[in-house]
Amino acid sequence: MESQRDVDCLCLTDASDVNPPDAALVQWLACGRQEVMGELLRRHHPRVWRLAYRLTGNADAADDLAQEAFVRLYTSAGRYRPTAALFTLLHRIVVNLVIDQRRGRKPVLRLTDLKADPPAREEMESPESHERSRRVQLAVQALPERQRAAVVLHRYESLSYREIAEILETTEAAVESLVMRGYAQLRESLADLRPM
Amino acid sequence: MNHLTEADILEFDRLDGDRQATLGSHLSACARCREALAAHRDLLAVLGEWQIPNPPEQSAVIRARVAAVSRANGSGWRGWLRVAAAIVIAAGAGYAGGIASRPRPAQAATPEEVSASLHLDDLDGGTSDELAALFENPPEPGSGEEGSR
Repeated sequence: MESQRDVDCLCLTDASDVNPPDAALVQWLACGRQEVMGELLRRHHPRVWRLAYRLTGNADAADDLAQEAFVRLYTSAGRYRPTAALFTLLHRIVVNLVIDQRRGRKPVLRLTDLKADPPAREEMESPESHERSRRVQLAVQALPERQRAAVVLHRYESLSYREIAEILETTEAAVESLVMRGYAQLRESLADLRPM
Repeated sequence: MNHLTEADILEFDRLDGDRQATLGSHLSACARCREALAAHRDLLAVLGEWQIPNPPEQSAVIRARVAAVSRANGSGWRGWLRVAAAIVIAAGAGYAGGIASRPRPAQAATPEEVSASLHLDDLDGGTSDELAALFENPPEPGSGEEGSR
C-alpha cells in the first residue's frame, strides 16, 4: 500500500542514479522512501556518532544522539534545502540536542548520566597513553558547551569557521572567539603534556 | 611586518599558500611567533591523543525507529489531516485543470460567412446562393447528382 508520504510526494529526481548526492537521498526520504536511510547511515553515521561521542564523552549518549539525529533528519526531510552540506545539518542537530539536553530542555534522550566513559582501553598501546587520552577527554569535557562544540568541530572535524558558524548558527567572528578561548583553556589545563 | 595574531596561529596550517608564505617570511625572522605556532601545534598533537571507540552498528535500530515514526505519523490525526489536505489539493488541481482544458464553444458561422470563406463566387456552375443551399439540402445518395470518382 502506498504510504501517505508517497501521496503528496513532489520529488521528481532520477531514482536510477547509482550514486545520488545527499540532497537527492534526503528528497527521496521526504517522499517516504525509507530504504535510502541505509545509504545515508552508511555515509554519515560514523561521523555523527564520533561527534556525539566527542561532545558527551559517553558512548550510550552518543548512541542515543546519533539515533535521534537520523530520526529528526527523517521527520524534517521535507524542509531540507540543499543550501548547506547534509553533514552541516546533521552536526547542527547533534549539537543542539546536546545543548538542549544539558540545559534541561527536550528531555527525549537518556542523557541523565553524562559521566565520561573511560577511553577504549583495548585500543591503547600503554597505560601512559590511556592516561593521556583520559586527560584530554576530561579537559575537552570541561569546556563550556559552545566552546567545546567549536573546538571539537575545529580540531576533530577539521571544519572551517564558516562551517562551524553554520552549525552553531552564529557568526564567524563569534566562532573565532569561541575557538580561541577554548584552545586557551585547553593549553592551560594540558600544559604539562607534550606530544609523545 | 607585525607579529602573527592569535587567529593567524590557530589557522596557520589551513591558510592558502600565498598567505602562509607571507606569514612564513615573518616567522623565519621572529622567534616569538615561531614559539607560539609551535606551542599551538603541540596542543593540537596532544588533543589528537584522545582515542575514542569505534562507532557501533546502529543501522537496524535507526531504521526501525524511522519506520515506527512513519507509522505513527501516518495513523494519527496528523496523518488523516495530511490525507485530507492531499485530497483537497488534488481535487482543486483537477478542477482548475479541467476548466483550463475545457473546449471553448465555437461561434456558429452564418451561411454567408461559410460561402465567403469557400470563395464560392469563384466557382462555375452556380451562384453562391445555389451552392450554399446545397449545404442545407444535400442531394440524396444515388440521385445522380453526386460527383463521379
